[in-house]
Amino acid sequence: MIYPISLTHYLILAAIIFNIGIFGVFLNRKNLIIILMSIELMLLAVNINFIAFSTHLNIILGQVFALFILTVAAAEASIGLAILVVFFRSRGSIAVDDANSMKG
Amino acid sequence: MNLLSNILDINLVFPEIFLSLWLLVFIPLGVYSGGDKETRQSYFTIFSIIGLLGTLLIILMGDYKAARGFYDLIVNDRLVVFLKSLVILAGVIVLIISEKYRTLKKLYLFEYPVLILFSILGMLVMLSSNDFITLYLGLELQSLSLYVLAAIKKDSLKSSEAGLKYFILGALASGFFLFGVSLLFGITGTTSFTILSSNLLSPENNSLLLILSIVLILSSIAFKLSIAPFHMWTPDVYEGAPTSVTAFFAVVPKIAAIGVLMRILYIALIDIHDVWNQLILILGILSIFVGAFGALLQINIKRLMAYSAISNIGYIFLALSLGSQLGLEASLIYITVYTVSALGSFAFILSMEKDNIMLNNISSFAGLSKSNPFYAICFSIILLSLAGLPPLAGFIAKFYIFKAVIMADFLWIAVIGIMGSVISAYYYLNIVKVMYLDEAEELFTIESKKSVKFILFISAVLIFTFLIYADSLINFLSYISKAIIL
Repeated sequence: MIYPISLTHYLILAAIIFNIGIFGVFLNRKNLIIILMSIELMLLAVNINFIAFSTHLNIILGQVFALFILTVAAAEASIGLAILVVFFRSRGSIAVDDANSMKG
Repeated sequence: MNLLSNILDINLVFPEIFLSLWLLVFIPLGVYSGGDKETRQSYFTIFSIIGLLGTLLIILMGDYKAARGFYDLIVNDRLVVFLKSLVILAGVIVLIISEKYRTLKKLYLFEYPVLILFSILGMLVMLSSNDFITLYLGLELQSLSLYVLAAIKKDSLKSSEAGLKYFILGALASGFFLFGVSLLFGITGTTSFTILSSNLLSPENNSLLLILSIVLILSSIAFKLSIAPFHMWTPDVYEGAPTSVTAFFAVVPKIAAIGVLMRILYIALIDIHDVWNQLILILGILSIFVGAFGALLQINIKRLMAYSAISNIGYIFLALSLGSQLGLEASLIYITVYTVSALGSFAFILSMEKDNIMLNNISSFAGLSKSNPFYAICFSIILLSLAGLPPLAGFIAKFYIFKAVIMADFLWIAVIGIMGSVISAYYYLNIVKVMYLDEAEELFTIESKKSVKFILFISAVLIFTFLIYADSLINFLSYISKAIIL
């Protein structure tokens, strides 16, 4: 028996990916690049949401928004990597626990 | 016909177009110009100030009438004009007061003013947005520039760490924002504030999903405003970033984000006021107390200003949570007064240097009343106003906030807010005590530019003589706030 893929399936998939992204940011203690990947995952989950709603409601606006998000996500990733390189040069490490020179 | 009317809409975005063209000239100019670093730096500062003032001129010469354009993506009314002018003026003042600090710290990069201008461009787009798409683009342009600005001192560990922390948490907040917007789009089929305002009340919309989406959107805006419990980045970023950048962070993005919040709450989501009012109220109370208690033990003035910003924005949240015309008016008064006092405090902090070292510790201000009485008295006036002492501007602003809260029958909330205000008075008054009563180890004179002294003086005078012009200012702001009619 084959079930058709409905809107709910897409939404659940997007929610799962989004949560993986959030947990990736908070639980990861090793590598800052993993955090960048997790942030990218969150934005892509949002894109799935937008496109699923867009086809379900038959409103093109959601797909336009998804294109904007893709563009901005690329800019965000490049800036994140640039800041990461600057941090690596002054700290000599990209471990999450090494970002600890200020506390309080 | 439709196309023609769209072309005429270009008047609405004329300031933004001007600023982007100015930036397009600026970047090649910065790359190809040669010469001495210090003179280049001052030329670039003047060049960017001219660009900002030109934008301000275009905004003020434009139309103040309520108008929407580009298929309701862009909005313009007197509230937008006022907040945009405030953002640009604050940006100009920050550029002026940070000039000497940048020479001292050798921040000669021409990217510095370029990034400030880019983030101001993002804020202008945010303020005139009438749709979540425009809002998102403006928000990201602003935040991406701010991330780089925090990390601009590349050889400093603290600065790059501040940039990294700000980037990670900021990107997380934009993720939440987008997820909330996508759910809202799924529920209502639109992202336009105008359509949302008439579309939200149908009964099948009042679902858990709607509440979830609103919580996500509001929490990401609260993050940008450093409201507790989304404030964790604030002290670290304020401490780590170069002080001139901290001055920018403490004032300019706050105005823009408050303006956006007003538009989201009072236009798009006003129909479901009872869904968000308690959320905003609790966030406000929480950040008043986090700001008050967090600052008590700080010895670094930049961290103290971070907590001070947290509690000050908390008061604005109290007023905004009411969903009334009075609350809107009170929050406009408060953000104006906060802008003046924060700019004054940072003019003071940026001029505190001895033997080319910035004095960031509060204890190093000891005996300032004897060695530099002008600085001591100006900063004391600003601090007393932030603490909310009666005849000064901060008192009147807080008075209007609590008046609006009490008029909405939230007497206990007002009592709690005043308690927070009393607690935070301790650490403001403590700085005054250090400056006037503590003995200095050695007396030193502070040299700073006339322009910085002038700005410090003007902000102290504006705060001290607030009662004289309070009536006309408050009438003016209440006229501005009526751009959004509830």
